[in-house]
Order: sequence, then structure tokens, then C-alpha cells
Amino acid sequence: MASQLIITSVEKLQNDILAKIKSLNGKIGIYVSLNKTQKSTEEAFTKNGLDTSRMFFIDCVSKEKVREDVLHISPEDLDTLNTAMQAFVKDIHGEKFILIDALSTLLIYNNENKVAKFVQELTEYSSENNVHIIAFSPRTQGEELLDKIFNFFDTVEKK
Amino acid sequence: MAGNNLKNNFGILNISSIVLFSIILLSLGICSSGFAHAAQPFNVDIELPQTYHETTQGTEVWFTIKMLNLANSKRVDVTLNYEILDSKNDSIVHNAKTVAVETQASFVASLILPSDTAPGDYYIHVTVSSPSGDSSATTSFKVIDPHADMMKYYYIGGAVIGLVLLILIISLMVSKLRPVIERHRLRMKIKKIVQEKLGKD
Repeated sequence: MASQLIITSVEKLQNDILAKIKSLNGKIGIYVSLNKTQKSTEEAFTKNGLDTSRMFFIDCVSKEKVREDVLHISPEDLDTLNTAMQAFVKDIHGEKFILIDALSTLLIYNNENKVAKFVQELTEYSSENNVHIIAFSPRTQGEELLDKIFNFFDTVEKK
Repeated sequence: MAGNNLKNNFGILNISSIVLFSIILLSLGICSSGFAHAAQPFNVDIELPQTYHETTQGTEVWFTIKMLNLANSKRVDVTLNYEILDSKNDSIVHNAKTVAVETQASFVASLILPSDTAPGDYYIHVTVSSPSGDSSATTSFKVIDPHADMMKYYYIGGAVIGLVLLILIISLMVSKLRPVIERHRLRMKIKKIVQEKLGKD
């Protein structure tokens, strides 16, 4: 399975994410929400006819626990985030994907080296466990911050 | 003549009163161990200051020997033998002096405790030897080990340091273990979420 970094404009980000999930044909997914709350993300998915019953959410925006099946993890706590993603990968059998929306947000809360280490561990673990990783990042002025983590992905797509 | 008789009568009355008082005290069992028995020619009392009731090795123990001539009112030379006895009644230090006593007298004496005296109960024994016979009195005191008292503080200090170290080790272990426990909890929670959503496949 491949790891993919998709850099797109802020305006297109939501549509590109929806299109990507649709293309994954109902695979079980782990959605790491760093830009929007799980509630608004799920609402957007439902509005666009996406089935979220096979999707697990890690909400890094809201701290308010509304649902038992949603994890709330601080974007500063990369160790816990990594542990959670690895635990999901371990417990979900069959084909699955991890979608990170959006990777550059981690750079707001953590330094580049920490994020680079996090991405490296995640891509290595996913590669060993046949997990498809899709990380989105909006094209921003701070795009050069992503330079350090480009190399860890199998493909980098700039739209 | 009549005056002399009166003085003698008062003297006899005084001595009789003291003897009677001593007998009453002895029979009630409330008198000091320093009192001599009533049958002795001298009533001997040892006054040991409170500071020496518990003392340490090498201390010079000061005490007062009070004597009351019960046999007669004449001046007599008496020999004072005073010593410190251990709990087995063995003398560890002694001294003697000769003094003249008329009706009553007090003498301050001292004995130096050897520096190797073992902690325990000790007795000051005083014997008054006179032509009428011997009289004696005994009083007790305790020799304590000054280091034993210090050891108590060392033990308390050691226990406090040990406790602080133990608390530090426990807090260190808890701080090290907490992330491990938290991660385990998270894994368990995720397992439950996955099972509930996808079923046990």
C-alpha cells in the first residue's frame, strides 16, 4: 500500500477529500481531523452521500466528548495520536486507509522535526501493515515547512 | 539547772518526734530510699538533686548526706563511707571521710562515675560508722548512654530520608508508568470502538 501526500488549494481541499474517499470504494477508514470537528466533517460527508458507518474519527479540534466512538486527541500530543492510529490499524482487519486532514496543521502545534518523526513512524508502520495513507495539506505560504516530510511519502501530488 | 532540764526535754521531744515520724513514714512506705532504718543509731538521708537522677558516664555525682544522731546528743566522730553500687551490689567507686556530729549534720559529697560505666540502675550507698554502730541509707539513679539518645535521632532522620526517597521513587515510577497505562487504556478503548462498529470479525 502506498502513502500519498496531496497538496491542494484551500478552496479545493474539501472537495478533493470527498473525491478521494469516494474513490476508496467503501474501505474502512481512520479519519484524522485536524481542521474541522468530527461533527462538521461527518455532516459534510453525509450531505455528499458518503457512508460513515465504516469510518473511525480522531478529532483533534474539539475536546468535547459527544460520542463514545470518537477519540479526542490534542494535536500537540503526537505520541498519543500515533498510538491511536496504530491501535486502529491493528484492530481493523482487511483493507483500510488513514486520511489526515490536514498535515500542515500539525506544524502549527509542533516543530518540524517532531512532525517529521511522527510522519516517518506512521508511514513505516503503515507500510509494514498494508495501510493506505493519504495526507492532505492546503497550499499555503508555509508550504516550505512540508519540505522535511516530503521524502517519507511514496508519492506527492500537487494540485 | 531548770533551764538545762527544759532544753534536754525539748531535745528528747524533738528526737522522739522525728523517730516517730520516720516510723510512720516507713510503715506507710512513702519515705525516700535514702532514709535509714529506725533501729540504727543515726538517721541517714541522701539528697540527690534531680539532675543526677538520670546521668551519663564520667559525670561527677554530687549529693548531700544528712545525718541525725538518734542515740545521743553528744558530739561523736563518725566515718562516712559512701560508694556507688551497680545492680549486682558491686561497688564501682567509693570514698570515705571522718566527720564530727552532734545532733544532726549535713555533708556534701561527690563521686565520679567511671567513664566505662555501663548504662543501667545504680545506687548511692552511705554507711555512717560510729561507736554506737553502723547506719546506712541508699538512693538510686540511672546511668544512660548519651549516644543511645543520639541514635534515636539518627534512626528518625534515617527513616525520614528513607521515606522521602521512597516517595520520590514512587512518584518517579508513577510518572514513568502513567504514559504506559494511558496508552494501554487508549488501545483498549479503540479495540472496543472497532468491535462495536464492525463486530467481532
